[in-house]
Formats: sequence, C-alpha cells, structure tokens
Amino acid sequence: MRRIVLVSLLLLINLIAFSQDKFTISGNVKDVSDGEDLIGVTIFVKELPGTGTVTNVYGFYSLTLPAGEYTIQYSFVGYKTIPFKVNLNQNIKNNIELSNDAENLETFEVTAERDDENIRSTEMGVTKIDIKEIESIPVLFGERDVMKTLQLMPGVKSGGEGSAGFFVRGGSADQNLILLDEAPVYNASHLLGFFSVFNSDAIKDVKLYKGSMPAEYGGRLSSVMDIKMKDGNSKELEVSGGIGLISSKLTVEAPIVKDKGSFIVSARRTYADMFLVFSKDEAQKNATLYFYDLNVKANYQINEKNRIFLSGYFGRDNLGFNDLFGFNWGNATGTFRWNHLFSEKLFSNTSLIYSHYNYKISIEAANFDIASKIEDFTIKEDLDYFINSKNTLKMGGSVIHHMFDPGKISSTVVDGILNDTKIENRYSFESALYASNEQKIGGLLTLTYGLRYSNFTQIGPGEIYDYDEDGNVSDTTEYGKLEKVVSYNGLSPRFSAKYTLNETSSIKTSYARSYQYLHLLSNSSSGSPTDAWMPSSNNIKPEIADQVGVGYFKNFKKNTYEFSVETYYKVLDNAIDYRTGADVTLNATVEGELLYGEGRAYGLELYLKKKKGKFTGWASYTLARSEGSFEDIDKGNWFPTKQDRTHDISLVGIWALSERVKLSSTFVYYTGNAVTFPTGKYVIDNQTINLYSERNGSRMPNYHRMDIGLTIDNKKFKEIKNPDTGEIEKIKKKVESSWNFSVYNVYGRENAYSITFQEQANDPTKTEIVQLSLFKIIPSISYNFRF
Amino acid sequence: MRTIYQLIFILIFAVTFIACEKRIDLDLDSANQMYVVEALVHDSLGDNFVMLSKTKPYNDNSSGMDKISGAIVKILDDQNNTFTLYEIAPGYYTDSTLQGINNREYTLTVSTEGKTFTAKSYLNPRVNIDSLSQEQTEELFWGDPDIPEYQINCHFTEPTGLGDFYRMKAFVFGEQEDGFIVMNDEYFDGKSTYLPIFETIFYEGDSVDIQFLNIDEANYRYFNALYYSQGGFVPGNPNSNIDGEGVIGYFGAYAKSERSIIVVPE
Repeated sequence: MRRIVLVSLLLLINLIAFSQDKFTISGNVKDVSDGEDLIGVTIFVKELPGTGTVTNVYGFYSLTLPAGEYTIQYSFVGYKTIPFKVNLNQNIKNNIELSNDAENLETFEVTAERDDENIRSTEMGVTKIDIKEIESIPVLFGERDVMKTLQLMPGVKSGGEGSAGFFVRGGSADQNLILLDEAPVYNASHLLGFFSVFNSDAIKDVKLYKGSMPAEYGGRLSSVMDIKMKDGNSKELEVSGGIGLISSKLTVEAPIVKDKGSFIVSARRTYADMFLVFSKDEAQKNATLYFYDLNVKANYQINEKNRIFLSGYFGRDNLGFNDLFGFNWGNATGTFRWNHLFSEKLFSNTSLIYSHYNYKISIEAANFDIASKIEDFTIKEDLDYFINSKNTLKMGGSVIHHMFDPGKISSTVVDGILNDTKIENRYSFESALYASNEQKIGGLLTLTYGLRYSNFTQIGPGEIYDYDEDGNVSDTTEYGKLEKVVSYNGLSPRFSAKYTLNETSSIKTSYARSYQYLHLLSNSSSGSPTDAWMPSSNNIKPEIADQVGVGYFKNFKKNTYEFSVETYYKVLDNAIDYRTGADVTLNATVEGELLYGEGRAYGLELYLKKKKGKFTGWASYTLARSEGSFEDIDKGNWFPTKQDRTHDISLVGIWALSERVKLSSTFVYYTGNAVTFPTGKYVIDNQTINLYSERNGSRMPNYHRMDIGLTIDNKKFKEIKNPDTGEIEKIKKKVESSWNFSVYNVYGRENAYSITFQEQANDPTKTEIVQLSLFKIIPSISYNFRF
Repeated sequence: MRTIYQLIFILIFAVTFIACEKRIDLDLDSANQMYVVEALVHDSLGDNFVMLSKTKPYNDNSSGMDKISGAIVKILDDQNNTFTLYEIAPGYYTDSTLQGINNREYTLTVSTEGKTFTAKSYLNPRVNIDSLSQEQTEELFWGDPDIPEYQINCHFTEPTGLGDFYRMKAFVFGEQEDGFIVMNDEYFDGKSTYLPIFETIFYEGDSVDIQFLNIDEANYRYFNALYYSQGGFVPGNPNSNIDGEGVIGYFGAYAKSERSIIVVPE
C-alpha cells in the first residue's frame, strides 16, 4: 500500500516540474438552445493529435498547451463541431455554445457521446443512459424509467417482474450507491418497486459505474448510479409534460436572468387508485394508492468565477384503507453547490447535501403508529486540477453524519394497547479523502490511478449490544453523546488503464477495492419500504470488495457498430446473510439475526450496439455467477446467492419507420433466481411445515418477455399558403407533441413472481404448489407535449 | 408486524387485479427422511403428549405422516420425578398422571430405532387471561359483506420485567386454527392490555377457546423462526431445541391459561 502512495506522489511531482511557457484555454460549454451545460464534450487540438480534454459535469473544461497557434475543436455527437482558431500567447477564457445538428437528428437517434467514446475513454464497466433513447423504449404502464432501461444493459439485472430494483455484477441491491445531484437516495422505488423515484423529464444525465469506480465515489461495493438533474432552460420559458394511463407529469423551466441563471420544476403524480372507483368491491373503492414527486433545481452564475446551484427532490407514496390503516413513505434530498474557479486550471465544487428517508404506518384501527427514518448531512469538496494536456488530477473529501432511527411505536390515544416503544437511534460519521490522476502516456496508453481513504466511526449516545454465537445478547454497554463506539478505516486503491490497439479498438483493464459501511436488511426479494438500513457497528464489520476486470472494445463500419466484451472477478469479505427465519423488522436486536461470511462473483459480458441508421438498438448477454459461503449456512459450502443468474439476455430494437413514426421492441430472457424450495414436509401443531435442505438449491422458472412500443410525433410544421406567392410554406408549430403506445408482455407469458407451497384448501393433509404471475399483456398509452 | 405486510400485499394484489394464480407441478429434490418430535408439557392434567413421526417428500400427497411406534419416551423434572409415556395411538405417547409444575425444568428423552433424542424446557409461572372480548371488523378485500366478521381480543396483565415470552392458540369448536402467534413483552411490558388473535377471522355462533401460554425463550425463537421461515424470506429449518441426529421439532413446557367465548351478533 505504501508503495502505491509513493509512486503516485512521484508521478505527481514529475508532472508538475515540467511546466514551462504554457498557457491555458478554459471555459464552459453549453447547448445553444436551452443553455444546459454539456457534460463530456470532447475538446481536441487539430495541430496536436492525441491532445485534448473533456468537459466535467458542470460543463467546464481547461486545456494547457505550449504557446502557439491552434485550432481547437469542440465536438459532441448530435451537435455541430465548432472549430475555434486561437493564438495562445496568454491564458484565454472561451465559453462556447454548441447547436443541434439538425441533419443528423432526422436520420438517426442522437447519442449523447462522441462516436468512439467507448474505445477512447479509460472507463470500463461504465454504462451511460441516453435520456432521449429512453423515450422510445416500451415500458410497463408506459412510464419511462431510467432504472428499467439500465436493466437492459450487460451486467445489470432486474430485481424482479416490473421492479425498479437492480443487481449489478452479482452484488445485492444495497450495494448500489444511487446519487441524485450527489445526494444518496435510500429507497429508489415507488409503489413497492414498480416505478423508480426518478422522473425522466427532470434528468439530464445518468451514468452507472459497475466496474472501476473512480476514486471520488465510495461507500458501496457493486456500483454507483450517478444521476444529474437538468439545470433548466436559461434562454426561454419551456413547458413540457405527459398524460398517461397511470400518471401525468409537468415540467416548467425558465431563465432567472437570461444566460446567467435558470430553474426547473418538474412534478409527477400517479392515479392508480382512480381505477378503484370502478371496482365492484365497496372496500376497494375506499382504498388510497398513489405516489407523487417533485424535482426542483435552480442555478445562478454570480460572476465569471462563481456559480451556485440549489436542487431538491421530494417524493411520497401513500397507501391507505379507509381510516383503518395508512402507510406512507418517501425520500427528500437537497443539495447546495458552489462552483468556484481558483484559477483557469483549478476548478472547485463545494457541496452541502441533505438526504432523508422515512416511513410511517398508522394502524388507526388499533390506535398506534410506527415510524422510522434516516437522515444524512454531508459536506463535500471536490477539486479538478487540469495540470496539463496529459494530466488531470481530481481530489477531494467528504464527511457524512448519519442518523438512523430504526423505529418507534407510539399510541395515538391515552393508554393504548402497546407501550410507546423505541428502538434506539444509531449515529455515525463516514468520511473520506481521495486523489486520482488521469495520465496520458504517449499516444496509446492512458492510466487512471487513485487512492481513496475512508473512515467510519460509530458514535453514541446509545446502548450497544454484544452477541454470542447463537445471536443472543451477551453484554450491554452504555455510551454517551458523541462517544466513539468503534471505528473502521479503509484504503481503496483504484486503477484503470487503456491501451489503444488501433483507430477502432482498445483494451482496458481495471482494479478497484471498495468498502461499504451501510447495509440493507430486507425481508423480501423485491425490496420493501420498511427495509432497514443498518450502519456498521461493533458487531457488523464493513463489507469489502476487490474487483478486477479486463475488456476489449471495438467499433466497426465507421462507428456504426460498437462492440465490447468485458470480464470481471470479484471477491467479497464480511458479506452479510441471515439466520434461518430471521425477523428484520422493528427488531432491536436485529444484529443477532445476521451471519457473516464471504462472497465471490465472476462473469462475462457481451454488448453489441448499432448506433446509426434507420434501425438502432443493442444486444447484451451476460454469463455470470455469484456465490456466498457462511460458516452457519450449509456448513460453509458455497451456495448461489439469490441474485445469481447464469444467463441474462436483452435485445432492444428501434426502427425509424418514417420521420415521425418509431417502432420499438425489447426482449429479455434470464435464468430464474436461486431460491430455497422445500424438499419435504412434516406436521407441527396440525399444520403442514415445509422441510428444507440446502440454501438456494433450487431455481425459479426462467423468465422471458417481449414488449413493443410505437411513438408517433405529431407534425412539427404547419403548412400555410402564402397569399402573395400562392406557395405552400412550412411554419414551425408552437407545440410539439407525440403519442406513445406500448404493450408490455406481448405474448402473455406467465412469468412466476412468486411460488407458494401451501396446504390444499379443501384437504389440509394434502399440499399444493401455486405460482403467482403479475402482468399478462399490459397495454398503455400516453401523450407528451412541449412548448 | 406481519399483519401489516399481509394487508399491504392484499392491497397491492387487489389493485393489480391483473395478477393471476395457478397451480403448478414442480420437480423437487428429496431430502433424507428426518425424525419429527412434537412434545408438550402443560401445567394442567390431561393434555401432555409426545408425537413422533417422520418427514416425507413434498409432492407425496398420500394421507398422513409416517408415525413412529414402539419408542421409549420419558419426561423428567428437576426434582427427580420421572414419567414414562405410553403409546395410546400410533406415534402418540402420553401419561395421564403427568402435570407440569411452575418453575421446574423438564427433560424429554426419546429412544427409537437405535437413536436417542433429548430436550429441555423451563415451565414459567402462569399469566392469566383476564377476559376475552369480541369486536366486529370491517370487511377488507375478501369475504361476503353480508356475513359479519369478528376479531377476538385476549386481555391480560403482563408482569413487570422484560424477558417474558408468550404463545396464543385459538380453537373453534375444538379444532385448532392455523397460524403461529408468538410474542415477547418488548412492546407491552408490565401493561394491562389486549392482543387480537390476528391470524383468524371469527363468525357469529363460533364457540372459541383461547389458550394464552407462557413459554420459554427457546420456544419463542423456534415458533418465530418457523413463522418467518415458512413465509419464504429466509427459508430453512428453524433451530430445534431437541438434540440428536436427524431430528426436528420442539419440546415445550407451557403454563396455560384458557378461556372460552361464543361469538354473538352485535
């Protein structure tokens, strides 16, 4: 470990010593039509092949070159490339706005990346989702969803039928760090998983790191899903929205001061419960079932050197039955950011982040409430140092204060049937420091190397339990406020390298270690709002993962096709599983229900994408294994984890039938989850009890499904006869609109959502096996508009 | 807590009325046959028994379980009293003179087919049912709205001091209702309170017996795990308090308070 640090330092000193008679060109790149910052615009120098940079997540770039005359090119697919001639004899600020390339737009899907980004970047194990692509992919109830589109990518597996939950490279659902404008989102699903909390109208950019996580991220083992909200149109007022069968949404964006600041407000509400009115059952008519969410963001450029952003999310699910029972849950996040330019080479961002999740269950029939919450405060500093045209250094740090309130029960009347009871809050600090450098060596090799140090400290106040081997409390210790209970440290080296084989292909390799200090205890496979997050403690050690990956990337037919093959091997330490029959809800001694062991996962991912032409789409295939070994489960034998899926295939096709009509289809197939089915039965208390043998020794039936979708854009132009010339002229309509039709599960496959083993109703001495399938052929329709 | 989940899922599936259920056939692996011991000592006469049987393959729907006859079954207390149980029906062993006494530890030994199984359970003091009450409930999603449904509440006064464990059993016309209701006193320690028999819906005219049982922690853990392991979250065989090779089941020494109620129209 010390050697790595030393080598990194030497490399740094090496590159700083070289500076001589050089100047910097820097600035921001935006979209000319709505002023949105463009992320990942490639900036290269015509006279110096192999030299260049890309804009960061705030659209900022900085390039330092020897004095001289250059042609700087700003290139972003779907946008016109702008050449900029410059005589670089002093530091130059050049803000630039790129415009849509109209000719390109008509013929094929716009991809928000450079044509050959995949072979040029050192990133591997990274999936980018193009928000525009999401629009044409058919989905359940017609509700577009980034999380569901992600599940069609190699290495990313769906959490189950209709579920927004996902598994990455054999990791469990809680090993995904989901960030919305840097704020962690603790429960990313609505309506028990059928929808994600991310309204695609308010989202600008989604990136999923499933392999080599950059050093600026940490805290989860399997992946980082980094979601950036739109900044809002800084040129003019824009209103867009959609009306669907199950939900409607509206987005308003406008400048605060033209070209200096803007805001966006986006709201969405479902009305699933409105269908209940048609129900014959009197009781169903009185049920409530809906969710809503609100995304708000504003930004303001104070001056050349300072810019501030304020963004927030608020969402809530509501479920209720008359005045007997109510259940609501949701996330709230807030992020304040300050961009500051220390110099034309040093970009700084300071963030203050708040993240909140809670649920409340009101059992009005019995006069008590159950409530639980999580609250995080984060302060974070990130620096981008554009040292020279060969090196970009990123460094920073963060401190998070976590508060977990596992649950309390309180009576709503005097002297209720239960005592007011509370499971003690858990407090902790999670902090990190990191530095990472991207270095180009010669024209062919690029390295990214970095180091992340993290610390997790559990603090008081509270009663802390120790447990014996069987999970019974053996000792209790009282800690005072802010008193340290236990502290863990982690050093995570991160490394990736890209070697360019030729113009159209490259190979990449990576290694990453990560630490996870928060663990989700879930009592269902699809995730539930009452799943409990547990911080590391005197009993729960941090989970650790080491992952290596190798990949080959190739583009052919002038970047029309993109192909990649990646393979990975992952080892997990301090993995968590449960004792048989564990009870993880509202359990003060839940740590006694946990078992600790190790895990391993490996796989092969193939991806072929057609990016241009009338037909676009992709095929992805994953061959994978994910296993665990725990001393107390089957004597430590390796068993497949529930997210182990041998084969996983996704096919996506989008046909542009005409300028206005697009037909799309998806097909998915995957091996059924590993599950524990009974191998026998016996009778206790006159009731049939299932007998089990090894953990996850059986499989659910294989899953497959096909969806189709049709998007029809209404005419963008009006035809008006010019009274003077008699010619027909096209005039752009004020309102753009489109219809979207989709059918989920076209051929009505009855996929197993659950399989239940039960006594037969008419003869309890006999048993039966019952399969529940959720969605058989679900058509939907929605109307979207923009003006 | 489980009622809440049941409610949620009922609601969700009722709403997504698109869902469909069907009976399927599955090829299941067969495990080795295991011995099943179910043994109860109450602090009352006449309902103490040991039942011995064997497991069978899941898809075997021939009637009844394989009973184990001819076993030697003994129950001892910590005052050196030994009771030998006699087989009065296949696999069913009892001794009509055996009556459990509070604050004694009981030991079970079973010898059969060359194997010996042993188990211990502590008989705690009795906690009495103060009364039973009935309460008409609102129809949720199933059932005929014209037939009123009732909930039965069991009222009791819980002794002060954490660390007590209880089971409730309901019998309608002498037949035991399905479900395992176990609880610890975390949420109602030292309180005069009531709990509904939430696993069962009762109807007018039902003759109901409720048993309120003070049990030891091992039994609490066993039935809690049994409940959760059947639900499918972490399926597995709950840890049994019976020692021996290839044996599952439980031995419980329970202090029993029992009351009856007939559900009448409100």
